[in-house]
Amino acid sequence: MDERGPLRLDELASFIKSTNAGATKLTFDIGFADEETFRVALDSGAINKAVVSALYGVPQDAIEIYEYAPAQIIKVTIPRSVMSGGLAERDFDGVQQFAPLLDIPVPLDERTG
Amino acid sequence: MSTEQPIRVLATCNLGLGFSYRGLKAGVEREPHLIACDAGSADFGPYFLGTGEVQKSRATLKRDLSLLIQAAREIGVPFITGSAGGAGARPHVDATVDLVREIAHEQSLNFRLATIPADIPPALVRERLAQGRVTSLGQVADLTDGAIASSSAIVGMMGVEPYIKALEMGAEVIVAGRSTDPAIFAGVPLRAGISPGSAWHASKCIDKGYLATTRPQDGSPVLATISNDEFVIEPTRDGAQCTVKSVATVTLHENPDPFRVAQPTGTIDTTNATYHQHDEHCVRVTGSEYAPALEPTIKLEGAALVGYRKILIAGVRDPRLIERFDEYLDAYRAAIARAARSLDINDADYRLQFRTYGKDAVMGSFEPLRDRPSHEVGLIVDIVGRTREIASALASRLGPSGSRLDIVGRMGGGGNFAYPFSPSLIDVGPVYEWSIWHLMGIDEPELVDLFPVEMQDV
Repeated sequence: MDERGPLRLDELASFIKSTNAGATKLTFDIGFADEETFRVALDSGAINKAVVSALYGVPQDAIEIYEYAPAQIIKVTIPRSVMSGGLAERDFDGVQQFAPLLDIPVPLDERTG
Repeated sequence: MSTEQPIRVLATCNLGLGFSYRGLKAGVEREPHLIACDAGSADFGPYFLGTGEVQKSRATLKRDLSLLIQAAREIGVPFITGSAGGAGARPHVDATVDLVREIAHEQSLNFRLATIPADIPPALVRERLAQGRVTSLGQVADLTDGAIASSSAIVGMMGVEPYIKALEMGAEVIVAGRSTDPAIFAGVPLRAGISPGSAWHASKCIDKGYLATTRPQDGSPVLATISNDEFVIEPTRDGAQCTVKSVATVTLHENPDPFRVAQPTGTIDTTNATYHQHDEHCVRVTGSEYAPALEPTIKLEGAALVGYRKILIAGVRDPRLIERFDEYLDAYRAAIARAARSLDINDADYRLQFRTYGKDAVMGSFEPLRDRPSHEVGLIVDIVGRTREIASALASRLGPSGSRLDIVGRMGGGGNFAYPFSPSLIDVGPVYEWSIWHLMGIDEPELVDLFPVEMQDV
């Protein structure tokens, strides 16, 4: 572990956003400035189903995580708490649901730190 | 490049969002074989499908349509727009056709106009449901006859086949109802014999227009030059740029899976696609694939009226009340339930929701910080009644019940609610929900037959 301690995800990523993916899913795109930073994030294992499950209270088997190398993005998709646009809607486009991801700790090992 | 002639498709962003006029002019000089743009989205919610209202203003739609149709007629190539009017049902298509006719009249243009409605007859959906050929998309309840009957409108997302049919019939302008986004662009390259992998993936890359560029705010149209084994994406406005990142990002936009995009006849698969920075402003893509499905399917969208909404907006600053806010809201809910019983209103005929800004209004059950409320709370009390009368009756009790309710032995005693407005109640109107969000299995000929092309001379 680096002596500075772990970074927060919002210090490593260049953007973290959420949107609807259809009416039943919410998708998070976590983008990195370059291939190197993208690899650091992947190698750290910081973004995983257990972490997302704990932050959003959704079961791990309902979580999808993709590594999208062409754009250096880690994509996380979870079910919406309610179908979009219904009586209980809070965020029609799902664009303000990313905030809990900002604080995910990213442990850096000796190679990358 | 293959020996086939490449096909050029010029795309702008969602109709009515505006685009760079200089970029359009420069794009037209490249002699595209098609000018096209998407006009719809389900993101605005079921209200617009249910009511038939067009989500964007007539003025902004007319500006974009007018320039695009004029540009396409100038060089004698088709102009296509799909998911017309936002939700893409009959009223939305008709409103768009009205605009097109008005533009043709004002600019003295003549052309063959194809209209392709996307409304799906409820009887057909019932029949397919009975045959077990309707499945839920995501975590959606199984479809029922009741949900079909309650839907004010049902549309199906057409694929590329109706567009190809309209082009074969000589259409010069096509206004289509609900459609998958890439299908709007894929008809011309597929008809020219371009391989499905290349034609579909290129269409996907340009279906959000300037979102494929590094600076969407500049509004540059994008041009796809599509060959059998590769395609090139570039912006047409001077100074704009497409990068590997900006183009590759389009397939993951609002899509659960960044590699695969489902269509009625198969899936655009970009798993093996490679993006190359061709020069500083354009991107070349190779290795795109299209995986055919075993059975064609159409995605259905239906909207049902579920009631009428009134809201009350109030601020709360009393720290002792905020400390016990959940308890307060429970007591408030009980007070409204008593009022409903006294008015002979059944529990099932209304829904009361508290939207507590400063606590958990934005994220609800996803909110990790809901137990750390701020020093003030913005409260929206939201009542939806099955009828306007029920909503009005209960809404009139919201202010007095909530403001007078005393659970803390308060010091002031003047009331709990700081009202910013008078009247304090706001009528939001009819409320719709998605009643249908399902996939329906269809027979091959229905890819065209469900979306009958209507031709007219304008």
